Amino acid sequence: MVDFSPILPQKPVNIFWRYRLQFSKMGLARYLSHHDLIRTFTRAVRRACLPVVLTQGFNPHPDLSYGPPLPVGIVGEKEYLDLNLTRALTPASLCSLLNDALPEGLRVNKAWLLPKRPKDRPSLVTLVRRAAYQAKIPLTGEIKREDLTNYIQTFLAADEIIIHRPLKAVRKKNKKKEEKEKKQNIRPGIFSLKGQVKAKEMFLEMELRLGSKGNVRPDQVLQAFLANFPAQVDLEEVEIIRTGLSPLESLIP
Amino acid sequence: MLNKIEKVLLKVQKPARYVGGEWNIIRKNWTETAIKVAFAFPDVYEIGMSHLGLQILYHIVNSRADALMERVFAPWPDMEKMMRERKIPLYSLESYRPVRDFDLFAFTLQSEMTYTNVLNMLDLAGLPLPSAERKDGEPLVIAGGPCACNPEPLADFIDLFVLGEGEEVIQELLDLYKLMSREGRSRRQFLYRAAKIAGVYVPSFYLVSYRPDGRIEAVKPTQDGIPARVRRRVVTNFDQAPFPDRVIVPGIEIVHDRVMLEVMRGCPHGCRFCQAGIIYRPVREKTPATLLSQAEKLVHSTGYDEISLISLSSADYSRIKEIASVLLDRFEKQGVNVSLPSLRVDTFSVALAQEVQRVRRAGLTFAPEAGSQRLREVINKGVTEEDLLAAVSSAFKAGWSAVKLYFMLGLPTETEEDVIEIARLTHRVLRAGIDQKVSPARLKVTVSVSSFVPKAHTVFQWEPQREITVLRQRQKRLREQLKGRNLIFRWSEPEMSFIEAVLARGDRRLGRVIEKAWREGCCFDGWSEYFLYERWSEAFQQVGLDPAFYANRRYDYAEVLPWDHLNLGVSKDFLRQEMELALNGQQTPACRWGKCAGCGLCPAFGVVPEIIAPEANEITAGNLEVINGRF
Repeated sequence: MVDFSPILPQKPVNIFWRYRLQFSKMGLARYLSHHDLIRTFTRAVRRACLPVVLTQGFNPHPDLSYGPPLPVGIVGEKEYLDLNLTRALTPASLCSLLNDALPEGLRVNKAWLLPKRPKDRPSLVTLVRRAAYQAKIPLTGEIKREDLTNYIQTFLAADEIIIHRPLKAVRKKNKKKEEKEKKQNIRPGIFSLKGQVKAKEMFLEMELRLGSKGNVRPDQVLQAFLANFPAQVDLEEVEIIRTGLSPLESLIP
Repeated sequence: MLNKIEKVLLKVQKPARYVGGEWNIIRKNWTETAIKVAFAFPDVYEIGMSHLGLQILYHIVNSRADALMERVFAPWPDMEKMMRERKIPLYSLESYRPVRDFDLFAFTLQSEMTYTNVLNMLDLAGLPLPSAERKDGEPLVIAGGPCACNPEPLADFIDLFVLGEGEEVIQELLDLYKLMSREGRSRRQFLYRAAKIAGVYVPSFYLVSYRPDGRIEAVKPTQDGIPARVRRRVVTNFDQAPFPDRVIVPGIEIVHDRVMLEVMRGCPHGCRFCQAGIIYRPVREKTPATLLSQAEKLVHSTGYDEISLISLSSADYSRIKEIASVLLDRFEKQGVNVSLPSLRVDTFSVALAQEVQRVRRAGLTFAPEAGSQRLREVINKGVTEEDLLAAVSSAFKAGWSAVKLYFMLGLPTETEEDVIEIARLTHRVLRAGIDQKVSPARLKVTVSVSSFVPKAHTVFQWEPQREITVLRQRQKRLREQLKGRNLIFRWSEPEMSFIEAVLARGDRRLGRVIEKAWREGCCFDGWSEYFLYERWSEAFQQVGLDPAFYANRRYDYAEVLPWDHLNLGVSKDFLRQEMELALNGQQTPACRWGKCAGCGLCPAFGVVPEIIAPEANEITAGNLEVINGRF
């Protein structure tokens, strides 16, 4: 029987063990928003009776910190989160305890103990710069391999790739505020884009900028990429996977 | 099926509503399970998943080896559109199977305003709306919940209603279903046998005749062996009643996103407008030992960080202080809070909330219901202005800066003066906040005003609802008086309350109106953004029924009420006598402390209130002798 009375230290804890977890979010779990994900992990940690450090303050809760949010609908193969434990666990037992408490689609695949000194373990948000994506796009028309290569070259050759983002958020109290369309040049945020065709499917691999400035989402790239695409595609069947975050060497201890 | 669903999910809001896969869901082997039940909540996922009854029945049915229960909710209009465009039938969240493949399609009727959603869900499931047109092999459509106490407006569409608490009767129904399907019986044969189970009402076995003036002449069984009156089911030995030790934990945020620990069922107070107070009688409490063990299992199996002690009036639970402090001590170290959903209007409740809620997140809510002392006496809300002011003062003193007050407009005998009293009372509450030195920047008094809706089986069941124009004018009056800093005024649409009143006191003829309204596009009527009053009005006109006949008419004591053949246990004589007391402003004591109001339930049904012994330090010679429960 797992110890069922673990977690809250009454005083601030100075000594604790910080772990980094690598998890995947796929299947039904990909429909969870980032907020849903946070709620789900917080509850899973409690169900698993992990000796997590709780935040101080009026409403103590497990102190977990996450990497950059994954948009709803996109599969994440290697996502990250950090948490603090009051007792050391082996990475393997940490994974298995948590996996027994996670709903389908979420799975912790690896865990590492992070360095003791806080300055040696910067937070995930400050570390992550880029993300790699793979998009699987069913083709209803046809395209030759060299045509795809040429198309990608032309696409990347542009100095500017402008996308239009409708500003959804209109404040309730200020209804007169115009819904301005925001233009964004996404070209600087595209580090690489490769494509290949297999049978009736096109696979695009891309590496995009992540962060508060110049962030580019894969669906934005697809929107621009497919705007003048010569072959017909089935947009409803597009599957996007975030295959990894980088720079990897700084993320994995 | 899932593949078809997933294609549209990124085009709708909150796709997680439609895919299941939550923690603690139960997926059973379809082919090896004899009886398949689809539990339908005719509202959106976040509301339906907050319903404790769903979790209780899900637990009960899925605990049987021979049965399974899966969930179905009303798709939000964006998803419904997609489903219709792509011919995706209504499906369950566990196995993504069409509802048509189930044996039973079981609705819970929590509000009259979900009736068009019931029809919409039948239609999305590909089933004929009238029960008479559904064939053997199609699911049996059953319904329970509070609105089943007058289910007549839905009588044409539902095969069978369950009256009262479902914990036991669902087992009896499943047993019978299994037996009858093994014998290859028809749905009609099943319904005939089911109608003999206590608590089961099969509307097609009753004939309603009408008088020339439109009122009901009689409601009579059409077959031998069918009871003339159907009796509500009451669970006894409530402490040991089945209660889930695992509940489904959604990934998306729902309305009641916490452990719901039911501390008691029923309410000892006899508010004369309140239907829940009648249909959950008598009061039955659980023991602290049971509650602690249930809380322990639920916190562990869900990972929730809050336990809500729920019931109709949790402050009345005999050992509320004890259970609250035991739970706090037990779970505080894990960061788990305890909360109380409803407060009585008194200082005891505030002290309790103060003890329990270490986090003063939200404000406290009080429901004086009426503004004047006179009117509060009419409705038997035994609360004085002093009680309220003492309660809010202690709340402000304890650090809350926001309170919410809940009132009803249009209560029987209400005058303009009573309405003004709401405003006066509110200003006194505000004054109390200022006196307690609550920072003016944070001080907030919210007044929420709904319209009185007369409900079946209540003391006020005969009373008319005030006309829309009157309600609107009184709202306006109140709004004018409740302007100002730190005051927020909220009201409900009188048109919505009007339709609610029609359906709440309606008879079978309204089935055609509901169907018409639904065909004209009415759905999600409880959501103001979707409520289409004009379409409802047209539906009444086209069918040739006057809605005011149901909502604004004073029903006669002598007339046959559409729900008279449904026996809830509280005698009609008692209700009538209560109505006379109401008009005289006379109070009736709570069903507690040895006082019996004489509602007739206990002798009629052979039950007793199940009250546990009060807290040890509160036992006095005076209250020792009044413990009338079995513990």
